[in-house]
This record gives sequence, structure tokens and C-alpha cells, in this order.
Amino acid sequence: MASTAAKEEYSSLSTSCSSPPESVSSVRDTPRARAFELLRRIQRVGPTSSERFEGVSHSSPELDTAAPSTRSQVASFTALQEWDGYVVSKGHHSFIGRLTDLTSKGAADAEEVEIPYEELSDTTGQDLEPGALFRWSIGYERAVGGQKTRVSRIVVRRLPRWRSSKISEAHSTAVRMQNSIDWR
Amino acid sequence: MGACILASSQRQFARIGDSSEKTTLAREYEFSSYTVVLLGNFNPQIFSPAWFEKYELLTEDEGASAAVQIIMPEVAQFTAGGFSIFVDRERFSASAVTSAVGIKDLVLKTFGDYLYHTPVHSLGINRDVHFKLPSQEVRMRLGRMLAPLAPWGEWGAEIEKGSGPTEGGMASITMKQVGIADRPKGYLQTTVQPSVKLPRPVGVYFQVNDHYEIEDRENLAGCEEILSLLEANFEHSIERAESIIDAVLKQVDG
Repeated sequence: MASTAAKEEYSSLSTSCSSPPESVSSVRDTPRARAFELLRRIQRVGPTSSERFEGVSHSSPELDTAAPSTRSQVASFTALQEWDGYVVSKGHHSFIGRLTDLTSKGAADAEEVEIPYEELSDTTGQDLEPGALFRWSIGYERAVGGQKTRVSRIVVRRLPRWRSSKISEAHSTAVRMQNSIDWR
Repeated sequence: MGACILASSQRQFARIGDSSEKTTLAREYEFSSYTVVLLGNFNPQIFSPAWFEKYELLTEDEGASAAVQIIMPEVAQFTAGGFSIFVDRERFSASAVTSAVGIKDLVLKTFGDYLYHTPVHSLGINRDVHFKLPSQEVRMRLGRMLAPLAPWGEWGAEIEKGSGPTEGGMASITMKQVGIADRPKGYLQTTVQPSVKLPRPVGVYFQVNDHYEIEDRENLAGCEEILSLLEANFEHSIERAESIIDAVLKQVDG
């Protein structure tokens, strides 16, 4: 692999799911190009081609330089163990959760655990209700400077509401299944 | 699991027990992120930490600690709650370092509950990682394996002569799979390059771009079809990305 890095190629390849990068001239008058110009002026640094305007990717060194204070200081997270869980009950200082081990693909709801609210942010702890779903991960967090820390992180799931079309679909499926049963 | 649990929490977590059946550990990347990208027609101006907080897509704490780079009619970009959000008129993108499932939930809830009329025709589930190899020699071996010099004839032989800082070789390679059964249209693409984020020349960068498109863009009425693709495919897509990256890295680290 070449040791000299071609920065322009890198940034142009952080285009995520778009079609292949357009040439600079062909996108100059598009909304994206105008948006890029605005951002560039505000940041007063960095990129000069619209292909580099994929600010959310780690492969865009220009934007990392441009706005270091706004980027997460966590560079990576490696999960050693993960569970999906739901809240069974709430206490004064902790809640009881039922867990499914995702790492070793354990049986559903096989473990029960008491988790102190201090593992959660203040607002998350207040809002937690029985039945709430969460993902619990234990692993290593690496800082931008390289420092490694072992962390336990609980993400309370923010799932979309059930839509009437999905409920109708589920109902139809249930009726179909019921009708397919041979009761004899 | 005892060894993996934080010392201060051992009493509370003691009932979890041992998970010694787990035989392989995940690779530790120097930098990594998960990104969900939607392509369609968006109104960037409405995307702000306050809007996300109002609809409980971010907590009060997350909204209060948000860092806004820009919010204008043409573009919005901010970081909040561990997410980086970027929106222009044709693209919405949300990325996170620590929580893949958090990104999936955020996008599904934002567009499924509140912005379901937004016309979205394409979805990208992307994994970006920078991995540190043991040495520059190992990285060169990986580059030579993915892009051998022999097919380049005399030029390849010239490249071979370099050493140290003048040692040339693969700068970027992209592999693409098309005709994948789990989507109406789209592709799976992986790019491998030397990493520019690691200070020494030992880093390798992977981007896995899993791209989904709806069949009929002409009669696009909202984003339900794309959200269904996201909901059905996200976890598998991330797992597949990890296995692609792992398969390549195993070539040089055994």
C-alpha cells in the first residue's frame, strides 16, 4: 500500500451511498455545492471541492481539522459483550432488567440483572418505564488521543411508534395463520 | 463476564455470570463510525437540536450540550447526543461512533414518526474504520496482496524499486457487488486505502457502503419503503461489513 496518502481521493470516497463522485465543475451550481460554500465560509478553512463535503465520515480529514471542538472525542468503541434488555421494574436507586445475550447468542430473556440509575444519564433514568427496551454494551472506548477506557454503556431504545398500516399488516398475518390451522 | 465488568459495578452485575463460551473478540479500531445516509429531498432548516429535543429524539441533556456548526436553509450540521447530523437539500446523514443501534433508532423514529412524507429514494448503511497494523511492512504486504504489481508490467516493476518514503503501491481499491437479493436495487461496495488519520504509515482505512434503492423513483410518495429496508437490513448489514473487513485483515494477521 502506498505510504503517500492522496488526500483528495480519500475525501472524495467518503461519499457514503451516493452515486460515484461528480466532478467539481458539474456540481458547482447544485444545492449541495452552494451549501458547501456556505459551510466553508463559516468554518474559514479547509476544503475547496464539493466532493469533500461529507462531513460526517471519519475519512474526511479536512473537516476534522476544521471543527475539532464539535466532533466527538471518542474515536471508537469496541463492544466485548452486548445484551438487549427490557425494564421489568423500577426501584429507588436501580431498576431490574431482563436480558438477552447478543454476544454469545444466548436464549431470549435468560438473565435478570439489577442496574443502578447511575449507569444512565439523569434524564434517561427519570424517563425509564417498565417495558422500556435498552441495549447494554460493555467494551473499550478509545479516545482521539489513543487512550483506552473500559466502559459500560446503556442506550435506551427510541423506537418508532406502531403505524396503523403495520398493525393492519400484523392483524392480516395473524388471521391468515389462524385460518391455516387445521383444527381437526 | 466477570472480567469484563467495571469494578465499581461488580456487585450489581454479579448475577450475569460467565460468558466464556464467547471465543472471538471484536477487533479494536483506532477510529470507527456507523453512518446511515438517506438520499431524497430534505428541508435542512428544520433539523436542529431543539427540534430533535422537542420530539424527544434527543434528551434535554443531549440537546443542551449540542454543538451546532451551521443551520441554514441550504444546510444543517451539528453534533448532539453522540450523533453527528448533516443535512442538505438532497442528503440526510447521521453517524455515531459508539452506538450502531442508536443511529438506526434515531433515523427510524425521526422519519417514521415525524417526517414520513419526506421523499427518500436511497439508503446507505455505512461502516468506516481505521485499523492499526503492526508495521509498515505488513501494510505494504496487504497492499501488494490486494493490488499486485505484476499486472502493471514495467511500471509495476518501477514501483517495486521504491523503498521507505518512496515506496509506492496501492492508493485505493474498491470492490463492488451488484444484484443483491435483499433489495430492489443497489449494491455493496468496500473501499480500502491507507489511513490518513493515523500518524505513522501503519494504518488502513475501510469503508463499507451498503446501498439500497427503491425500484420506482417516479411515484415516490414518502420514505416508508426505504425505512422498511433500513429496519429489515441494518443489523445484518453491519455484521456483514465487519466480516468483510475481518476477512481482509485476516490475510495479514492470520
